[in-house]
Order: sequence, then C-alpha cells, then structure tokens
Amino acid sequence: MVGETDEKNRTRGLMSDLACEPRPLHEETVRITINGEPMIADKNDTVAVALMSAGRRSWRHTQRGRLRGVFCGVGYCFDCLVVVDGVQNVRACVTRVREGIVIDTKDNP
Amino acid sequence: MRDYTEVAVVGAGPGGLSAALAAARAGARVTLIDMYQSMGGQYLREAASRSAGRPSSRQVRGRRLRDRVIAAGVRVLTETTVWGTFGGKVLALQGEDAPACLQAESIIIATGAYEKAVAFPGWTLPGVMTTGAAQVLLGQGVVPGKRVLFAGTGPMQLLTAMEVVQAGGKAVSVLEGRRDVGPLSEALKGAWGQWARMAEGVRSYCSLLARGVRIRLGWGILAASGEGEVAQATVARLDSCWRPIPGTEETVLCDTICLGYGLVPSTALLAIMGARLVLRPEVGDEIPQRDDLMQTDVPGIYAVGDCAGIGGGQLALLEGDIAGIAAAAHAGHRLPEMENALSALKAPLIRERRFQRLYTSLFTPGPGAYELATDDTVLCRCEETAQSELRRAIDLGADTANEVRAIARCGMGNCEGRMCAQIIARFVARETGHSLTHVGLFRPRPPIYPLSIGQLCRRPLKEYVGQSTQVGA
Repeated sequence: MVGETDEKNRTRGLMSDLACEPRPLHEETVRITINGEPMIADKNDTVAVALMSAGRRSWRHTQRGRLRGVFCGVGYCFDCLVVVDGVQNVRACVTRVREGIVIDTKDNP
Repeated sequence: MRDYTEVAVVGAGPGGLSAALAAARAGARVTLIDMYQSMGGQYLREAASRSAGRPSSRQVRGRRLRDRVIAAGVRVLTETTVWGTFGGKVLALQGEDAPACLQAESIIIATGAYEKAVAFPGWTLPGVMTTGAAQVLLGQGVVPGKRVLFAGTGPMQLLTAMEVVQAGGKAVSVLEGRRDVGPLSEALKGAWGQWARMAEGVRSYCSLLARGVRIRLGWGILAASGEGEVAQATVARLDSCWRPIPGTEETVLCDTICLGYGLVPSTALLAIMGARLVLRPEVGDEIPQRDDLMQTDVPGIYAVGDCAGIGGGQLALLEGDIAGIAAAAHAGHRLPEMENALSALKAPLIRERRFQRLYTSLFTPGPGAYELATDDTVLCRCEETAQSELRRAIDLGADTANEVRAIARCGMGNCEGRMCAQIIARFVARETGHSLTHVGLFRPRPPIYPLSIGQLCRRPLKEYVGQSTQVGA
C-alpha cells in the first residue's frame, strides 16, 4: 500500500498520483477497508478504482503465482478478482464500493 | 412456477434499450435484463461522479433513452446475468432481485461485444490492458498509468490517448498498425453522412501531435517486460501483414500498454439458445444469421447490435427499433402501421451498415498481430496455458479449438474462453494448416458466466421447473 498520503487528500478520497488532475470535489465518500487498512473512497468508485487510487495496479495472484490487475475493465476477463466481505472471486472492476466494505487481496484463489 | 414476460430483452446497451422501448410502445409487456449496475452498455456509459465536466451529447441521449424505457413501463432487472437456458424460450437468471427463470414469447438478444486480446511475450503483466479498460478507468477519474503506450489500430486509440493526456498522464506513443492514412480518409469521405466522425478523428490526431505525443503509422508492439509490472516494450515497424520487419526493433519505456485490436461479438447466449452462428474467416468472428426483422433462425429469437456483427451504437439503435416492433408482433402485439414503421427504418439502416462495413474492414489487424507469441507465452490467461501446451495437444491429434480445449484446458477458466478463443483458434489453424472455419471457436456451454452452487441452490426447485403462469411484468 502506498504510504505517502497526507490527511487532506485522504479525507477527499484522492490518494495517489494515479488520480486525474485537476481533481474535482465530489459529493459523498464512504469508508472502506483494504487488507485491514481503513481508507476513504468515492461512493461511486468500483473496487478497482479504489485500489488504483490507493496506488495498487495489481492485487491478485494466479494459481501459478503471477500478479494480475485490471485487463479488460468491464467484467469479462476475471483477472481483477478480490475477496469482498468474505466472498471470493469478486470482479473488482464491476463491483461498487459501499460503506464498510471489506476488501481483501490476499488468499484469493 | 417460472416467471413470465412477453418480450425479454437481454442487454441494456443502445440495441437493447431501443428494442425494449419499441416493443413496449407496441403494447407488449417487456422485461429488460442487464448484468451491470447501470443501463447503457459501453456505448451509452454514464460517467461516474468522480470525473468532472458536463455530460456529452451521447450521454444526454443515453439518459433520455433510459428515461423513456422506464416511462414506457418496461420492467428493468439490473445486476442480473443470463447464464443459461432450460430449453425453448426460457432464460436462466442470476440476480438478487431477479427470478430464477424467465419464460418469454420473444427474446431479443443485445449482448454487445468485448475487446479482442492479442498475445505477445509479457502481455499478462500488470499494466497491460485493453483500451476499453483505460476508458472505463479514465471515466472514473483514474489515469491508468503515467507513461502509456497504445498499440493496435483505429480512431479509438487516438481518442483515448487524448483522454490520457487531458487527465494528466503522459501518452508516450500511439502505434497504429496501418501504414496508409491517405486511402483511409478517401475511403471515409466516400461514406457520406459521416463527416462528424471523420472530423473527430482528425481533431484528435492534430491535438495529439500538438502535445508532443508520437503517432507512428505502420508500427506495432512485439513484447513487454518488467518485474511485477510493465516497465518497457519492444516495438517495431510492421509490413502490410502486420509482421515485424527485422532490424527495426526499438525499446520504449512505459508503465502501461493499451491494446486496441478490435471487438468480438458476444454470442455465447445466442449459441446456447440454438441460433445458428456463422464464422467469418476474414474477421475471425461468429455471427448469427438474421432476416430483415433481425430474427435468427430460431423463431421468436432476435439479435441486434454488436452481438450480431460489430457495427457501433447508431446501427444498434436502428436494429433494436426493428427487432422491438417485430418481437412485439410475434408476441401478439402487432403495430397497426407496422409496415410503414419498418420501411421508414430501412434507409438509415442501409446507410449505417455501409459505413460500419467500411470501418470494420479498415481497422482489422493483419495476421501478424496473432503471431507474436512464443512457446513460453501464456495464451489462455485464466488457466495459464502456454503456447507449448497447445502444441502438445495438436501433436496428440487435436485440430479444432474444442479438441484443443478438451486436452489442454485452455478456455475452461473463468472467462470461458472469451479472451483466448481468437488467439488459440488462429494458432491452431496456422499449426495444423486447417482453415479457421474448420478449427472453429470454442463452443459455449451453460453456465455462460461463472455461477456458484450456492447461487443455484438459493432458489427453490419450483422456480426452475414447471408450467409458467402469466405473472410478472
């Protein structure tokens, strides 16, 4: 996880230099957890966007131990899988965050 | 008891929205199903609130269409996946608010398309993605990387590169596989009524050049490498068959590679519903045969939009209109002025088809794009099947895509062969010397999207079997 986030940016939910510039203010944020670490995300973010905004471009290991992130971006390739609220094999790119969502990128088959 | 509707529409992109509206206006009870959270598909995708700016004219049209569909009384089931069929015109659904099964008089399939993938060494590294993925991320306020390389073909590459630059990323180069732009603009001029699109393409090209982005015509990617994610790419000049010209290789530093090699019609549902699909070797896709009313060879089952042949949003809107009217008539709601309504759509349909045929023929990658993998390269991303394993399957006597899949397991993973079918079919054709028609693509089997046992068992058995009664929308 990227360590250098200042409080102001964290509150606005815009975490890393992967977010677009200029950065518009948005109406609502939600509190999420990524691998146990509490974070802020936009209400309308997908899990993939939340992960990328936190500086992650890959978060899943294949059976042979290779890293994967977003490939198709629209829910067809099943590369971007994460564990969401305990449920495995959830596609990060088509799953929206919600208040209290627990995202885990470890131990994903 | 199964749920019942008169006209079921699968897919709420431009084709499905248009079809649902037309059928509802003809008096039919319509259920519109989409696997995403919002309607619109790719062509009419809404921007997320994170990104700034006014909605585009296309987004405004999309909202209007969605509002009309809802106002017409169409029952909409979002976040619902059609994963199978239980024979006849019964759809098997998976969604929180959806019935387990839906029986219909007419079914309109508008499942759209997905981006083609091409395999090369390093293509599975994080940072390599489709151009469509980059567009989705940009629309949600995230630039996909800091140094972005585009490879493939077509105006969408330029438009996305511009979005990357505007979002603060650095688009390094756009590699366009086609060398000749001159004949291209002549050809486009010949497609009258398409000035706006041509202007859009030209504007992007000029703006990119003005911002110092390098656009290289007749160039392509050969390989990518890096530790844990993309760090650099090997690129080269291509001949007219898209094969790299030896001695022209260069290294480009980049952290993101956006691939734009065309679209593949999403035909799995059509296949399992029994519609006959014909493989087009020149493009490499399979499309359903249809009559003038968009009906497949299965009476009461229609196909519109990109799933019936890549044609873009405008064509999908028109085809959806026609199919909606026809499907409603099939379900017993025949428009009094049906013949007039249909003939009014004929001229725009012909015009749209002519342009799209031209567009597709111009932006189809050459065979060299499918010859970049080495024996170590993973061809099936899900099962991580390397090219060498496919060779072994062929040595054992496999000479069709389905046989290779049965032996090497490629295409049996989560994506069910969507990402690798095109790549593997072409490899098998090349290695065996058979035509692509003989090799074929993977035959889909239900569930056409991954489904858990829990999801199946959550519904009582009676929702899957038995007589339907006329309940629901």
